[in-house]
Amino acid sequence: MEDAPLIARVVADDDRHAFATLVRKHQSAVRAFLLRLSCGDRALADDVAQETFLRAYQRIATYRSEGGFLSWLFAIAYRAFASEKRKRHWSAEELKESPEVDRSRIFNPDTAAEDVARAMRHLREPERACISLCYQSGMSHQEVANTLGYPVGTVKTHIGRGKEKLRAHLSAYGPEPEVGR
Amino acid sequence: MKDREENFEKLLSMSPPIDDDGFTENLMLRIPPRRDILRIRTTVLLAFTFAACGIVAAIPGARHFLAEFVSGFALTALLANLSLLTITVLAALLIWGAVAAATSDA
Repeated sequence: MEDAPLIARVVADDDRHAFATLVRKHQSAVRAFLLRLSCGDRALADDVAQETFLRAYQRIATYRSEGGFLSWLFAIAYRAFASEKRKRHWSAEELKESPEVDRSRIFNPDTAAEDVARAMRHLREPERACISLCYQSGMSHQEVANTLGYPVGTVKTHIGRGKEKLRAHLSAYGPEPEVGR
Repeated sequence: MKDREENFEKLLSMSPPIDDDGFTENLMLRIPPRRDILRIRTTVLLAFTFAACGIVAAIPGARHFLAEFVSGFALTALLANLSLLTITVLAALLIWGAVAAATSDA
């Protein structure tokens, strides 16, 4: 089902079933984005995802359809992550102590996404956000810029730098990773 | 080289779907009914209206504000679904205006 009629029902009638349908539809994308932002910290990602949808519910009357509902959720999630991180004094730096991606690991689609999330700890937060939205969510550079509020040039820089760092830390999957088999 | 770059980008784009696993159910339990939010907003507006009425009634020169602004403001704020912060700021400005007008009339 399209988002627009569901959003209209939430705004007009406070239809909680319609909002639950929106949450079920988008929870996977929002939680996956937050999982990468939090470098694989599932508890933090899920707490922020809950906060994201709570804020979305409270502000849904202010939603304007430019960019799409999911982009709007990503923007809320990014800000919610920043405030939760400050509240908990969370830092990706601390995660650098935990084990690296197992370089002898044979490619496994079930663990690859988790490995990428763990490798994200070597990136700065804007780099993580830009790479996640661009590759994981398939957004264009312009859409990422609109969602995160950065200029397009900055988004391209973050993606370029982030990819270089990830390439080094995901070398377990190189030099000729057989992805997608 | 091109294949290698494509494979790397495929790796970055891997995102297996995450099961809901009670996520939506937990969230819906945390959402307060909208009626509660409306009730709080209405209570604040009524309280402000009564307070403003009391102030302007006590200051003779500000009485015209009672008819012209206070009731109109309360109704508009309710219909326009303004946030509590906006209501509070506007209410403070309104009371300040009433007091200023009363002072200048006097």
